[in-house]
Amino acid sequence: MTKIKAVIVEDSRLARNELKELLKDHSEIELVGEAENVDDGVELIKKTNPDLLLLDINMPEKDGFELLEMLDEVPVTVFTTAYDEYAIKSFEYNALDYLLKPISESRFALAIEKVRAKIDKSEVINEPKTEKLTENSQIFIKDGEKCWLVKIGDISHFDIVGNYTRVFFEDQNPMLYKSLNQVEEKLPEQNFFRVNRQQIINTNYIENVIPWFNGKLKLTMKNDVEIEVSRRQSYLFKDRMSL
Amino acid sequence: MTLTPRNKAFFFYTLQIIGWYVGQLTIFFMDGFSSSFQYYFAITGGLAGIIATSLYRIYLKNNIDFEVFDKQSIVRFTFAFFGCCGLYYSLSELTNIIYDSIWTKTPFELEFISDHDGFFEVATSVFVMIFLWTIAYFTIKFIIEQNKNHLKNLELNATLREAQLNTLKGQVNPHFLFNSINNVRGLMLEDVGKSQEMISKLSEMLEYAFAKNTVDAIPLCEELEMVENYIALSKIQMEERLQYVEKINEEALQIPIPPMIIQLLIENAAKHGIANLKEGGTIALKVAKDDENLFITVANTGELKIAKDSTQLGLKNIRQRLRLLYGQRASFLLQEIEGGVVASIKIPLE
Repeated sequence: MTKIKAVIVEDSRLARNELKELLKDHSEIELVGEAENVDDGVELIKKTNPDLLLLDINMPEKDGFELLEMLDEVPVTVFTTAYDEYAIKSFEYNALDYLLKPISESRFALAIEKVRAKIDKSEVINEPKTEKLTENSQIFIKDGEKCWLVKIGDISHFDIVGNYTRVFFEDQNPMLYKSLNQVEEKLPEQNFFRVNRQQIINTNYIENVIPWFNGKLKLTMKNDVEIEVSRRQSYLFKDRMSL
Repeated sequence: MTLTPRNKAFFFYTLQIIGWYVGQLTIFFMDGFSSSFQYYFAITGGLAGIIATSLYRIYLKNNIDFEVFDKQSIVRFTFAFFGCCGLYYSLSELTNIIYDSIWTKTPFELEFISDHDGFFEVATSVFVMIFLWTIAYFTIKFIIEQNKNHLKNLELNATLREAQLNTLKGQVNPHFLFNSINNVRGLMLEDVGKSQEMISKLSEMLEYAFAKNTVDAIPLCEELEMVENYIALSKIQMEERLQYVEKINEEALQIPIPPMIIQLLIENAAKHGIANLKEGGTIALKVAKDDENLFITVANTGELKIAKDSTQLGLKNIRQRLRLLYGQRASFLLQEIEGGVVASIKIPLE
C-alpha cells in the first residue's frame, strides 16, 4: 500500500513535536516535511506534493488561510488550532475539517480515518503528479468571509468577471481572484473546454447541445445554465466531441 | 426621578383638581347669575368631572393592558369611555336636581339652562370634554412611560458596563490557555521538569485571574508575577522569537495598581506585535516613579496597526478603568516610535 504523504505547517516547535508524536501511531502516514511559517510551507508543499496537510491558523505574518490561497492545488487539509471562537465559526460555517489543540489521540485517529476515506475515494495517491490539475485536485477559494475546498471535477463552469473568475459548482458561485487565462492553464484538457472568450466549461456537465445560428452551438448545462459556443470554438468543439 | 405609585396618585389628582376647576372658573366671569348658583355649580361641576374621570381611570388601569391592545381592549375601552360620559352626564343632572330642591333659580338662570338644555347639546359637550380628558391622560401617561424607559436603559447600560469590566479584568484568553496546554504536552516529550514548572505557572495565572477580578487594586509586584508567568508561557510557544527585558524601580514594588492592566498591555504586545513577526522581537517593560506619579511603559518591536475587525476592547477597557478610578489624573497613550510600539500609562500616587 502506498503511504499517505503528510506535511505539517505550524509555528510552534513544541506543537509540531506533539503532532509528530500523534502521527507515530499511524504508520500509513509518512511525514515528508514540516514548516514553521506560511512562505516556507508553500515552498515545501510545492516541492513535496503531499496528500495531507496539517495546518495551523495563527502564524506570523500570514495565516493558514493565506497559505491555501497561495497554492494552485490544495492537498486534503486538516486545520489545527487552539480554541478560537472566530476560527471555529469559520470552520463550521465552511464545513472544513479541524482539530482543536490540545489534540487527543482518539480525535486525531478519527480525523485521520476521515482523511483516508477522502484520499481513497479520489485515488490521488496513484495519480502521477503533473503541472496540470486533475479532476480529483482540490482548489481553495476564499470570497469574503466564506471559503471552499472544491474538487475540480465538481465544477460545472467558469465565467470571466473583469480580471477575475467566477466559479460555478453545486449551488455556489464564489469569485476566484485569478484571471480566466490563469485558470485555463491549469485545468485538465480532457474535461475542460474554453467555449468562448468569457467561459470555460466542464464537458461532463453538458446536458444538451443544439446548433445555433452562424455555425455556433448552444449548450444547456446540467444546472440549466445556457452557454453559447463561439463560432471558432464550435468547430473545435464538434471535432473534439466527435459530433 | 421615577414616580412611585403614591407619587403618581398625588400627581394625577393634583392635575385633576387643577384641570377641572380652572375650567369651572369661567362661570364667575358670566354676568347675571346669583352667587349661590355660581359657587354651587362651580364646585359640583368640577366634582362631577373628577369623580367620573377618576372612576374611568381606575377601570382602564385594571381592565386594559395597553401593551397588547387587542380587540377585547377596544371593546372595553369604548365601554369605559361612554360609561364615563354617561356618569358625568348623570352626576351633572343630579347636582341640578339637588340645587332645585334647595334654592330657587332666578328667571335669568332658568332661561340660561333651558337655552342649553337640549339633550343633543349637553351630550355633545360631555363627549367633547371626556374626549379631551382622554387625550390629555394618554399624552401624560405616554411621556411618563418614555421617561421611565429612558432611565431604565441608562441604568441597564451602567450595570452592563460594570459586568463587562469585571469579566475583562479577570479574563484569560482561551486561545492562549489552550495553546499553552498543548505546548506543555509537547514539552513533556523533551523536558519533564520544565513541563511541571510551566503547569505551575499556568495555574498561578488562572488563580490570579480568578481571584483578582473583584479587587480594584493590588501591589505592583503581584501584577509583575503574573506578567512573568505570561512571558514564560509565551516563550514556550514562540521560543527564541520572543525576547523580554524589564526595568523596574524597586521603590515602586508595593504601590497599588489596578489589576490586569500591565498584563493586558504585555498580552497586546505579544499577540499583536511579536506573534506577527517571523523573526520575532523584544518586549520591554519599564516601571518608574516620581513624587506624584507612577509611569509604566510597555514597548515592543513591530508596527502599530489596528486590525479591521478588532473591537479594541482591551484598550477601551484600560482607558475606561483608569478614567473610572482616577478621572483626569491618569493617562494612557499608545503610539508608534522608531519601528516599535509604545504604550505608556501614568497613574497618580494617592
